Amino acid sequence: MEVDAAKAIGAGLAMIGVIGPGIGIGVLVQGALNAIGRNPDASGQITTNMILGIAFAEAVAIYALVVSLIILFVL
Amino acid sequence: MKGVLILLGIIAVSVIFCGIIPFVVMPGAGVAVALPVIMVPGEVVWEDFLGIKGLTITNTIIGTLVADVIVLAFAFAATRRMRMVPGRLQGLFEVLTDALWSLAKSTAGPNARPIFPLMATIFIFLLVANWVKLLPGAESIGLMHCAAEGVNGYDRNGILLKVDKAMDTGIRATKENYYACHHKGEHHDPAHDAALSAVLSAAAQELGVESISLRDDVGNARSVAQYVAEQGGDVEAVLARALALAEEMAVAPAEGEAPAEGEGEHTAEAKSPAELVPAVLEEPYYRDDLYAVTPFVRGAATDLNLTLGLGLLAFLAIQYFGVRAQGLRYFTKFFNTPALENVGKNPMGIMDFVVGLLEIISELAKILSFGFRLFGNLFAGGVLLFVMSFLLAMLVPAGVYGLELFVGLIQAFVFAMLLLVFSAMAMQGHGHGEEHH
Repeated sequence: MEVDAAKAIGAGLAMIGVIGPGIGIGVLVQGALNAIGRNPDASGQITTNMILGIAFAEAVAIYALVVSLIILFVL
Repeated sequence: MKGVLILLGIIAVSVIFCGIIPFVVMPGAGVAVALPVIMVPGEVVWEDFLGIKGLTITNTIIGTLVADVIVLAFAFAATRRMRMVPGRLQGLFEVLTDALWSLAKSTAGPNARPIFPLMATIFIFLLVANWVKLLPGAESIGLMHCAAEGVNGYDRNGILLKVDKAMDTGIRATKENYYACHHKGEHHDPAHDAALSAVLSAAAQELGVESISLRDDVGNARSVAQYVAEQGGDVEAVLARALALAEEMAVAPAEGEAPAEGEGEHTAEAKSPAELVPAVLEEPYYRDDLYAVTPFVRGAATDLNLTLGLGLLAFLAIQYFGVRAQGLRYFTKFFNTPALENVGKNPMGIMDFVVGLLEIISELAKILSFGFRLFGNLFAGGVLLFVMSFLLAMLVPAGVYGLELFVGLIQAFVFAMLLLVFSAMAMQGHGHGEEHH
C-alpha cells in the first residue's frame, strides 16, 4: 500500500514539470497573435511556425507525462 | 422549434445509452462495466500467430494494420481512375497533397522535392492511425480474459467494480481473485483440487474405468468426472465410491499424500474432500474470478515501438538527406574540423569544435523527442478518454473526442513538419561556417 501511495505522489510531483511548457506555450501564442495582428497577411506562415514552437515546448511537458506514466504503470 | 426537439432527442438518447443502460440495465442483468485497463505496452491478442513461435500480435499492431488498410484503400480508390476533372475522392487527395506540397515548398524551398514523399506519407499514415483509435469499438471491444495480477478487472458474476491501481475505486482485488479466474471450472485451492482428483481417479480405477492421467498443473476434479462419462463409466457410482474413499481418508488423517505441492497456508483451513466432492460438481465456476478486457484494436501510436521506430526512421532520413545534399561535408556539423584548422589565429575554434560535439547529442535526442512526443500525446489522449468516460458518462466525453480529433491531426502535422524542417536544415548546411569565409 505504501508503495502505491508513493507512486501516486511521485507521479503527481512529476507533473509539476508541465508548468514551464504551459507558460512557454502561452508566451508563444501571445507572440504569434501579436504578429498576426500587426501583419495579417503573414498569418499562414506565423501559424505554422507557432505550431512548431508549441510542439517543442510541449515535448518537455510530454517528457514529464511519460515520467509520471512510467512511475504509475511500469515501476 | 425543430431544433429544440432535436436537441431534446439527442439528450434523451444520450441519457438512455450513456446513463440508464450502463448503470441500471446492465448491472441489473448481472453485467458489469469494466474499469479501463491502462496498460503501457500493447496487449497481446494472439500469441504465436499462425503457429510461428514468438510472433505475437498485439492490439497496437492490429491498429496499425487497420490504418494501413484504410490508407491503401483510399489511395487506391482515389488513383484508380484519374481524370482531368477530379471526382470527390480524387479531389480530396489532390487538395491534401497540394496543401502538403505547398507547405514543403515554402519551408524547404528547392530541397522540398526529395523530402516531400516521406513527409507526406508519414503525415497521412499518422493522421489515419491517430483517428482509427477514435472509431467506435476501438480500444473498447475485445476479448475477455483473466486479469493479470495487479491489473484491474471486473467480477464476472457480481457488479462490484474491482481495483484500479491509478484511480483506486471499488474494492481492492486480492491474489485469490486473480487466481480464481485462472482456475475457473475447478475449485480454487490446489491442495483441495489435488486431493479431490486423487480420490476421484482412485475411485474410477477401482470401478474399472481406464486409468486416468491427470494433468498436474490444475486440479481437475471436474475433468475426471467428464472423463468417466466419456469412457462410458457410471459417474454416479464413481462419485459414490469417491465419497466413501474420501470419508475413509478423513477418518484416517492421511490427507497429506495428495497436497504435496499445495501451499501450507491453505491446508490449515482446508475442508475434507468428503465435503467438496459434491460441491465441486454442483458448482463448476468459482465466484470471485476477475476478468479484464483486451481490446482488439488500439491506437497505433499508443505503442512506443511504433513511435520510436518512426523516430528512428526520421532520424536516419535526416542524416541521409544531409549526406545526399552535402556529401561528407555534412558531418562537419558534428566534427567541426574546419574550425580546428586555423586554431592558431582563432582560438575560439576549439569552442566551435566542442559545440559541434554537443550537436551529436542533440541530434540523437531527436529520436527520443520524435518518439515520445507522439507516444505521450496519443497515450495521454487515450487515458483522458478512459478517465473522462468514467467520471462523466455523458456529453463531456464527446467534447474530449473532439479534442482528440484535433490532437491526432496536430501530432501528425507536427511529426511531418519537424521531419521537413530538420531535413531542410540538414540539406542547407550550417550557415555559420559559410558566413565566416
